Order: sequence, then structure tokens, then C-alpha cells
Amino acid sequence: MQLRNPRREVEVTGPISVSTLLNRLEVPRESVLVIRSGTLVPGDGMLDDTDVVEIRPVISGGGTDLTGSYPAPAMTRGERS
Amino acid sequence: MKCRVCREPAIIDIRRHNANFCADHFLRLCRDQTQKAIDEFAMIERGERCLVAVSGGKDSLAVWDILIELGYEADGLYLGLGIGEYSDESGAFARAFAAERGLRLIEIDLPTHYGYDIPRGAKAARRAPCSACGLSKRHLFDQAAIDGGYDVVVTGHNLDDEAAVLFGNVLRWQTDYLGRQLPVLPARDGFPRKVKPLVRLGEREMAAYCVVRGIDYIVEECPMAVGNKHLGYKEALNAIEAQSPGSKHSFYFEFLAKASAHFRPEAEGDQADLVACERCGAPTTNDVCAFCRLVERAGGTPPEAGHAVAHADGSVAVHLGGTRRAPAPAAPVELPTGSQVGSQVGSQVGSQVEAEVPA
Repeated sequence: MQLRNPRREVEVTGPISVSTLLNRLEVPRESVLVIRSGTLVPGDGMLDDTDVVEIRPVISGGGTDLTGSYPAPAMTRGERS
Repeated sequence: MKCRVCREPAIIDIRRHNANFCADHFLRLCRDQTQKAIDEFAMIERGERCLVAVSGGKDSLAVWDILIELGYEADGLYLGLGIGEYSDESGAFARAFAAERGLRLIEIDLPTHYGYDIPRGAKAARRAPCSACGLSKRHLFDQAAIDGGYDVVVTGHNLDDEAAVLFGNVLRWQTDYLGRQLPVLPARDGFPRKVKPLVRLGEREMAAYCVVRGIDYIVEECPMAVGNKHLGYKEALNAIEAQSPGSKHSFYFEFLAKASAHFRPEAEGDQADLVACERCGAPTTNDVCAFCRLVERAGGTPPEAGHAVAHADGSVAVHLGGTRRAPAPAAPVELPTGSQVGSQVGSQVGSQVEAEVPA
């Protein structure tokens, strides 16, 4: 199966449930989607030896906020737009 | 797992709702939650023109898609940041999304139109890359919205984003920023209204929405953002959420309901001394605004105003310059109280003096 960010591939013997797989890989379930052939696989979904699965991270975060955010610690008032 | 609504096989579980959903009912949930946020905070009126800040990532493409599905009039604005392959790929996703749906995508390219890119601008201005990026985005999205006659700027910030920003502000008790952390900021002279319709939806839901809807987006993280504090805050909150589902929702929405108004007076103070930037006319606390200073330090040159270029696919590239209306010297104005948040959208209240964003 394929993992991203960083991109890598691992082989896992099936059948195995998505929940068990993620626990084995120590991947927090809330931080990824498991995708097989373009379709989401839920936590109790079973994966077989022949499945090619993508474990896609969902956390993104430049943290660029267009409506206000926390400041850089060293910022001075004069640096604000 | 069965869908809570129809008992058909589910494709996703949402622990904070203690519920599973099939594809159809999951899409309905996303649309319903977005409409609920829009209505609850009076973000957008029917018939208003929306400008969606599009990055090519899951959240901005999802919110654009949902707004269209809900019947709102929404164009997109993509800002080319000049961050190597990342910008090339993210721009391609944004263009493909718009072209496939026949939507209007406006493009501004920093290297082409302003003569600098984010890596160079950050270095020249001695800012963190995310700070230079945020500053550029805020200024150019505001300006594009005003120049284009849009009623509101829409961003794809989701519940995880807002909870993480709140977490960072609370860690340092940045009370002035806490007073401005709202899902909608009203328009005032020189600033368009800005709204975040995805605040009731989590990051995982937005990624799932894109998969179910067949929306291709850039999955790879911006190379400039890797390892920043914002990501660390999200990981910390996710660890809490795993032990106590619903914590992020409560943290953010209880803040809005019970605490936000207490910090408003300090936020109001920041808007008292706004003047027009002597170069571009944008509201600023200095003679020259931070964006113009950034462009200058990076060796860039603002182009002539109002020059637009239409692409063959129907998208439009615009060159923006000194067209932004200069505000009158600002008098102190009153921010909405907690119970009024969202009820005064469009009136001349609220502060949008922008904060910096750290790496």
C-alpha cells in the first residue's frame, strides 16, 4: 500500500481490517483516509492481499489565515499591514 | 458500519457525531453543515457575489464546490506563489477544477505580476515564509475582491484550522487576536467581508468530500509549511480528540459563544489609527502598508492597475495595482458582541487589521 507525506510503499499481509492496519502502522485514524480504487474504505472495511490502498493524510496547514490569526512572537505593531 | 440515515453500507465514520454515513448522506451532511454555518453567522446573502480564495487544496476546492451546489454565485481566485513545483501543481489542480465545471478562475501570479516569489520575499523581508505568504494573500485577496465588486471573500478554513489557531492564540494569550477570531468579519472601508463557511466541518471530512465528489486536489503539503507550529497544534488537538471526540468542536464553538466577546475591546483598539497606504491605498497603520514594503524589499514592482488577461479556458488573469480605495481616517467603531456575531454583516463594524501568521 502507498503512504504519502512522505511518499512510501509498504507491503502488508491480508486480510486485515482498516482499523487494525492503521493501528499496526501507528497512524492516527483521524488524520488519514484509506482509499481503494478511488473509494473510501471505512474502519471496519477488510483489505485483501491483492488490494492496492492509499493512506492519504488529511492534515494540511500553512496556517495562512485571511481573517486573522496568531502573530509571530517578534512582530511589532509597525509590521502589520 | 451502516449509514445512520439509510442503513446502507457506510463509507465514513465521524466520531464526534457518533455516526456513520453512506456517500450520498455524507455529501448531504457536508452541504447541510455549510448552509447551517452560513445561516448561523449570516455569512452570505442570496444573490451576493462570492470570491473564493483557491489554493488547489482540498478545503478551498471543496468550499467552492459546495457553494455552487448550494446555489451561490462564486468565482475563484488563485494566487501563484512561486514556490517551485508545488505552485505549478496546485495551480494546475485549481485550473482543472474550474475548467471541468465551467467556473471562472481569476489568477494572480506573484513572480509575473509583482516580480517576487514567496521564498525570495520571505528572505528579503526577513519574515518566515508563511508570514510573507499570508501577508501577500490577505492583501491581494482583499484588493481583488474590492476591485472586482465582490460582496464577500470566502476561505476554506475548517474546524481543525480554527481550533488550531485558537489553540495557538490561547497558548500565548494573544488577546487582541482572540478578539478577532470570528467565522465572519464584516466589511468596512478598504476591507471586504470575509467568511469561513466550513467551520462546522473537520479536515478529514473535507478530504473525504473531495474523494467522494471526485475532486482532484494537491495532497502534498506546501514545502514551506512543513514543521510549522500550526501543524503541531493540529496534531496535539487530534491527540485530545482521539481520547474525547467532539473536543475540537466544543473548544472552538464554546469559545465563540462564551469567551470571544470578552476580547473584543482589545481588538477594537487596533483599528483606531488606520490610514491609507500612500502607495496602494490599502488600510494600514503606517505610511506604507506591509505588502508594499514586502514587494519593495523583495525587489518586485507593482504593475499598472486594472490590467486583465483572459485565458483560453475562460479563466482570467488580472494585474492589480493601486486601485484600492483609500479609507478615510478611521474612527473607532464597535465590534459585534457574541450574540450579534453574524447579525451585522455588511455594516461598517468590525476590525480587519490583519495579523501575521508564523511559520
